[in-house]
Amino acid sequence: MSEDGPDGPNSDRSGPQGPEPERPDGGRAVVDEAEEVGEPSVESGDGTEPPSAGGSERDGEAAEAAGADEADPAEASAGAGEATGPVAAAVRSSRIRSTNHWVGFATLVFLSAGLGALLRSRPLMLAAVVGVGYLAYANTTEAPEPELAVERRLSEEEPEPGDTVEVTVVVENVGEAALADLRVVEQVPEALAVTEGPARAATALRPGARMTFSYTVLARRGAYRFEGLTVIARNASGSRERELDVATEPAAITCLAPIDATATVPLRGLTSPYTGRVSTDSSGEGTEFASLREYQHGDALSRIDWNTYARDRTLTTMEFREERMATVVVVLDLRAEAYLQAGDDGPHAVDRGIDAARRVFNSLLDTGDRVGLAAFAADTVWLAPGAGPTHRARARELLSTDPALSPLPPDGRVYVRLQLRRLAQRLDDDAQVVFVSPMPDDTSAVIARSLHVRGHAVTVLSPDPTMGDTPGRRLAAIERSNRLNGLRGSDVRVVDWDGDERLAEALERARRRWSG
Amino acid sequence: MSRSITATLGVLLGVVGIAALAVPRITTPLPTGESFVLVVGAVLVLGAVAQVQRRRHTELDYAETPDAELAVDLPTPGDDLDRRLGRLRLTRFNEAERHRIRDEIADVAAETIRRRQRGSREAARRALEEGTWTEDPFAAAFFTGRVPQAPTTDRLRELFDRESPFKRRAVRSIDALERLLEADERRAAGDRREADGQPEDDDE
Repeated sequence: MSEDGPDGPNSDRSGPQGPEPERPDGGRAVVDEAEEVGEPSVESGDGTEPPSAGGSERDGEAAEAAGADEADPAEASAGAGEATGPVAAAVRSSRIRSTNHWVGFATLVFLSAGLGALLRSRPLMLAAVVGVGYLAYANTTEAPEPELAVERRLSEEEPEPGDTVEVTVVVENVGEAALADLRVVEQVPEALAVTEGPARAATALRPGARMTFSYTVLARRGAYRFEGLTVIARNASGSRERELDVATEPAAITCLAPIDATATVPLRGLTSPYTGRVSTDSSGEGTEFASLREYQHGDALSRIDWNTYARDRTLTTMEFREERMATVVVVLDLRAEAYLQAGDDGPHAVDRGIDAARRVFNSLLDTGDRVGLAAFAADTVWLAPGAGPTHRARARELLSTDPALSPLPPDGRVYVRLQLRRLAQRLDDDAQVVFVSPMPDDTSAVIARSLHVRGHAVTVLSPDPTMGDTPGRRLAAIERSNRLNGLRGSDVRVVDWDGDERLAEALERARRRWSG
Repeated sequence: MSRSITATLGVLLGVVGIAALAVPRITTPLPTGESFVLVVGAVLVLGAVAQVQRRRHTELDYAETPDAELAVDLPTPGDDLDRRLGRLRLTRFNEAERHRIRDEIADVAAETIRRRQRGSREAARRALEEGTWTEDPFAAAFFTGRVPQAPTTDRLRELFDRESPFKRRAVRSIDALERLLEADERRAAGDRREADGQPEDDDE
């Protein structure tokens, strides 16, 4: 006889599920809320503040005695004030299966009856009858078809990155059947991590009863939709179960990145014809004194050096270093290869890269340069260089919520050569490139080099995803270091941005190195 | 189908049984001989064995609940090599895989040596093949394929190590490369300090 055979009817709740505890946090979230007709005050209180587990148990029993009412849900939602109440959820897919939980239980029956016959023992014979009763209980019922209404409440719909958002899910049984064993697992958007409380609950729900559970997610840049639940309903004996994919009313979190900038980004001498902040070697108008020359007809009066005129009565014109505006395109590396992470914690390399791109973008805009955005991604990402508040807002939107800039690796292939060619066509001749990439492979170095040989001044800003705790990781770190060194050797500027360093520090370190 | 038939049969027999409690006479036509009861008992015990077998060959089939709480898990560069090195113990005689791993490490090594010695790629390869690039005899032996020029005690220690010599030497060669790189970075930083004419606390 197998170890699973004679398990009691309760064992299926915890045993085979293994690492998925029902309520590991001790019932903080699940509340079987009972509605008493005509007591909207209880109802509205229930929605937002789940009482403790012990209390709720009693509530449930009390309600059982009172009995559920058909009109209850509608009334409840009316009484809940601003909350709209659960909305009926549509089943997207459903599948039913036997859990095989009771397979083998008949061993007891057979053995007991067989031995009873062989040994002429009446008690053994009678014991078999008990087993038969259990088997009938296990095999005669079917898994119920849950009809649920779901409401999802978010504590914040437009959080800042790093904020926590509490998600409260209310599930109500709007069907006729009692759900003896109902498990609900939230379909949390894949990129979001749950920081507190499991995003799941298990309970039994009578018709008209509700349960509420809540969990907390850590908001990160991007737009996310909560729109489904996985529901598993079993019959009381646990022999049959129905697994449903349920569509709920969508709820969305939109998390825009802040518009903070970083320290000034060191740029190189390649500039556009527009006045800006990059000092050039050519003389003309500007603020930094360059030289004196003989006055020529037509020179502006303000540029005449009156001190010289006072001294020896000759007209001389002051020349200043011309300060021009730079055109910079920040190019992101969003290939699947770039999705790397140092260890298990913290933002991954692409997230750090996008964060860096945003800061660089904003600080360049602040200093009066024209900035654009591009990416090596599965979809086209292109924001032509520009300036002004509208441009800034558009870039913020793109960097925060563009699906191509998702925190998850892309599904599609990224055709590097094609995109490189397209980017080269789009770039102005005098555009500089800030290539943001963790430099995971030789292809990333090829991208930087080919932009460089096309005449664009390339600065590689590389979030470091490597670690040094195992031999393989050490070798990867050495390889990347060699790759960056090779780029430096071919006159590409490289900012190696370590994980526990602020971007401003990395830029300052690089600036000192370049000027030194 | 067979399920409903057996269920019906079961219910019928149950009814007969209960009726027999009230009117014991109706069971008299049933055979109750000694040998018959023994056979029935044996069949039932055999049925029990069959049930045990059935249980043993049936997996529990519960719905797998998704891991909703976990965000994406991304690799750290180099995890792949770690995995392959770890797997080597299982595939002890997989010479092709060893070759691949050695070639991969050799590529990085050659590049690092070239960077350190500011020499040509060929010179770096030569240093690798001759084992002159490091002080560590075991790391050198990883690429030369010769017996390490080490004291016998060290070689004996390697022999009794839990890890295979291949993996041990691979790890030691990676460590040696790391030392080489650190030395190179120190030197580069030193050069810059000299050029600047002032000490810098920043080390890159």
